[in-house]
Amino acid sequence: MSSRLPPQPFEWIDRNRAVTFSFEGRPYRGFAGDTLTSALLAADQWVLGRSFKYHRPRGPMSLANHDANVMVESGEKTNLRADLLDRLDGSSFRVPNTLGGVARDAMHSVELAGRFLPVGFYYKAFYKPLALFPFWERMIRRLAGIGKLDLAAKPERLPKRYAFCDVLVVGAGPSGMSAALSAADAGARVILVDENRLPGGSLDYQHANDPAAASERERLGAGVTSHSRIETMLGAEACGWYEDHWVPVVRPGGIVNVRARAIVVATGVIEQPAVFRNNDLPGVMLASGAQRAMARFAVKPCESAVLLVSNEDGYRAALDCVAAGIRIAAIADLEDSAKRGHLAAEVAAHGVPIMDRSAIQELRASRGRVESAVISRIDESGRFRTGTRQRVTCDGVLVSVGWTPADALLQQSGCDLIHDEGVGQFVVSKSADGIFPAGRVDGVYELSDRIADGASSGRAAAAHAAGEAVPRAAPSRSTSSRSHPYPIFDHPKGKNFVDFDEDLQLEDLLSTANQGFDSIELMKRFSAIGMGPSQGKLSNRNGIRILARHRGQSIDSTGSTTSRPFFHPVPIRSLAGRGYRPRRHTPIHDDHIERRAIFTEAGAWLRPEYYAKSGDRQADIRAEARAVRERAGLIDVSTLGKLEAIGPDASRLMDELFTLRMSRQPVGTTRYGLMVDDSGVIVDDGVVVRCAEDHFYFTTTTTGADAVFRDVRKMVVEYGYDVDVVNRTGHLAAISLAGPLAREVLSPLTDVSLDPTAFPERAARDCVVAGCAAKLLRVGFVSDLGFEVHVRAREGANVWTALLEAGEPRGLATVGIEAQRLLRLEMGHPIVGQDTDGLTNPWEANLGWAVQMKKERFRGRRSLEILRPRREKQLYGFQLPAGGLSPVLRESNLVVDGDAIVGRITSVSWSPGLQRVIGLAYVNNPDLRPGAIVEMRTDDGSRVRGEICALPFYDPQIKPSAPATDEGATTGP
Amino acid sequence: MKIGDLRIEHLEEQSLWHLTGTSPQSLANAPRDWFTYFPGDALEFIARIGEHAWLILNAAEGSPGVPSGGHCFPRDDCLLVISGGDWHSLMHAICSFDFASAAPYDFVMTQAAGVSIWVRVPVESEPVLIGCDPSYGHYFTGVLQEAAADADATPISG
Repeated sequence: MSSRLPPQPFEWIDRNRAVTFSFEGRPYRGFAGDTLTSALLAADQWVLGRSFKYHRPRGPMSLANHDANVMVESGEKTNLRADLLDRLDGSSFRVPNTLGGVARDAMHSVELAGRFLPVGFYYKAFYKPLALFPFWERMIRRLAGIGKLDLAAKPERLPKRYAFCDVLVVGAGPSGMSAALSAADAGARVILVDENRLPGGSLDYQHANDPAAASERERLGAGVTSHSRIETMLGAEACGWYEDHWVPVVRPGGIVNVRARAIVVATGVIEQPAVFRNNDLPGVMLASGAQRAMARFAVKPCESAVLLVSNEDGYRAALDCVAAGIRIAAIADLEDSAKRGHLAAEVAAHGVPIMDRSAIQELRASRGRVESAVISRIDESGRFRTGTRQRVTCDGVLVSVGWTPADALLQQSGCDLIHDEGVGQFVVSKSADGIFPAGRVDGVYELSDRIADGASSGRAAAAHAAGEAVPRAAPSRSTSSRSHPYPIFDHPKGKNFVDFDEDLQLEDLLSTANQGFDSIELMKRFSAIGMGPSQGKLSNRNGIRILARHRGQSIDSTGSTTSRPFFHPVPIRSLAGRGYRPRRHTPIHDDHIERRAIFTEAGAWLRPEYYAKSGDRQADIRAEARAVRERAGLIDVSTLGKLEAIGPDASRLMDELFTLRMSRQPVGTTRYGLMVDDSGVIVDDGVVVRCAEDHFYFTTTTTGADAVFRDVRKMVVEYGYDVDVVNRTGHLAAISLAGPLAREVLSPLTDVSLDPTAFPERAARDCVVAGCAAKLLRVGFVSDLGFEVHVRAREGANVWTALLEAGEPRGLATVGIEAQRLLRLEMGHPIVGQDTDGLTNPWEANLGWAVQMKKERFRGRRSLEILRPRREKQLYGFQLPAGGLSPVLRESNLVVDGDAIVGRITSVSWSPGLQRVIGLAYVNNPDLRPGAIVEMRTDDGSRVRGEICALPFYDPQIKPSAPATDEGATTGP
Repeated sequence: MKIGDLRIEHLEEQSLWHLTGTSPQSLANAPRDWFTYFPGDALEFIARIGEHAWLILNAAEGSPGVPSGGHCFPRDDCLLVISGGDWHSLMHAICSFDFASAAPYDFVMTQAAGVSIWVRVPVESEPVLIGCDPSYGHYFTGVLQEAAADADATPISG
């Protein structure tokens, strides 16, 4: 049996293209353009879902994604909303979380225990006895839930985009289209967004048979599609408002982040259900949902209908039903039909029985669908009059008792809303800057008024975008309420549902309030009303009414819950967007690849961890380290931050920035530079080169360049220094050549003498290396003899190659970051960030030699003065007994004293040169002497005894890094 | 959005300089307004990027003349030329700056795909020139190409 109607004038389906799909294992046919809901309704299938708690049968209500009654899964995708699913062909769908299928879900028996599962029962149960909790947890997870994740599903990312406009119009109904046209006519760039796949809004379902709407539909539709300044995004959800009028628009292809100068909110209204016994049965629909079914999908929602109405929209729906061949068994009007004007008269003229001041007391079902409605008259207070019950046979119930504004964007943007008793809904009392409501969302209901209001808001928005003040004309709000104040009817047997997502009944909310959760926010959190998949689109309004009546206060006083993005659920793949993970390559990156470098991340940079030569990582790293100790090694240190400070105040800046006195540093020399913050905490370090009296070149750690640059720029502004600072990090390559043969390798390639007297320790020269202008530095970070060559980035690879060609016959090896870390550990040099943390000061880090307290001022000086006598821990070198390759200790292993934690390891490694494990560790005792024994706990809990030793580890001939005098500190990496 | 016949090419063999420490008065053919540029032959330009900071692109090798008090540093930015298509749409796939609001001769300094870039906003049908730190060149070029491919597959309207 099919419920498909003859072709409708504005239908969305393409009858020339049939589609096939399966639902719950049975094959179905539909048309292209059908949603899963409409195709199944056309096939006369009504039980399309099961409720969350009681597994009651459910059917569609809104056909607009306002309810979440029908959610399905397909293959690897879950949480699919049947109202929106329009790609059916060849797909298979099933309803999740049923036992035996949706038609005969055995878990429906849970409802028998419903009286033992009142609202909030889960707060008060299952925790005693505690041992049974896993059992309950498994059971609840089995009974509840809205889908099962396929953990093997391939992750998806949908790219995000940005779009810009003067006026964003949300909602392409009559108000929205009118607003878009008037804004565009005023010269604004307009983006028009609507969640439906076609523009028109209510024009194509509520007014589908309204001759008065025909001309406007044609004018507005043609206008927005042809206007050169209007861009339309359809099938797109404006799902939130953020500062500066950023609105993420969720589309099937990904999110478009729209930035607008002004926004017209023409999002319309959401029809609300009435609350009566069994109001959730399949066959019960919102009247507007039935109109969508008929007009958009040419599906007859039922053969014989009862309508529960309290406004003229219900009578318009009744006329649409009559036009579709549906028999209207009865209309129960909560008030007097005489108030409904000509529409009620037209309906009555069709012989439809209209029962004034009547309501549905309960529905009865047969084969899982509405079979009849029991209608009774109601008194002034809304109670059923005894002796007035009538049972009316029907297979569908359409409800039209009122609306609630889709005002999420208005609330989020900061508009003030008040409840207008005349209109019967919240309306805007004060708009936020640049926000312009239009149409029914602001209580304007007559079609002509909505179009005029849209035009006014569009003009005002365009003016706002242009920086002009043109107010929106006062909206012509409805003078009669379109919403019944309390369409909620108690029943001794309950099952009068307020929230369909959570299976919340009237008594649940009254119980919530009676337990003291009697503010709207508390009621929401205790009962979970509005917290299900539809986010309260059909329940919040009635929840507020129930609480307001319970407390004897107005709707305005009761208020509403906070509206937060997102209005509709947003797929994680859309939120994820394109995965941006900026990666920096050094100028020598390609050569590293050719040499089979295994890369590791150092901040945003990719650095060679080691070069895979033997297939044994440890062997390769140790071979690289051995090369530096015995011959020479070449390390790409282009990742170091590289900054220039030039100007009359350059030396003052350097003195302020670093803990050593740089103003007395001779031109042509390098000096270790240590930076601390105002609290004396180490923030970075590097090498400082004095190029001229007014010119310094200095390096930072790999990850510190940008932060140091920002910091220095701030310092320049704050202190008013006359100095320019340039961050050249990415524009320069830097190559470290270290080892006893470094001088031999480099000499033939440069135009300066590397003789120790001509180029002593801590010297720096501008020269030529391999034909390229270079800055050449003597450094000793990984070896007592080492040079750093700094050249332009574009010349880095050539210089690297030239050095390798010159050095490889002498045993020069490329060296990665792992060997570099080992070599500097042997040299006893701490690494900022590894051997220090966000609280470490120089006194603790064994870097006191790099602090000149005699210097009158530098950043952090006062803090260091205070901290110096308070030192409670110290960084020490330690070593294990010689021999033994097992690196059982790891960084972050604890130093212990009995059961007490007294420190931690920051660096540890097997030293091939020393044939033992060496490391650096903080110990909460600043007075340990070489030879002291400390105990360290390994990952497996065993303990290792290590000996505190003097630094450096590697070569006792190398002088300690402490300066000879307070003014003479020059030794450093 | 259809990228159409858009082409993304690297601009090689150019000479880019960061000039600092000098005022507009001492610099011939330099714009007075911040974040604008004066064009030269082909894609050459001199752009003002700060109070005393300039970016200069020369087709020829060799540093530009440095006025008294100025300092000139060579730069090796990754230079990308986008031509033959809707570059606004391409950039809007990765950047939150509204390029439609930029005028010809604007020199936009912004972020795209997580990295700092500059954009020489072209006049009419000129190609657009984009620069970024050379160490991000590989990454940024890849993101642009990926965005171009995605954009071709994903219409924004309709």
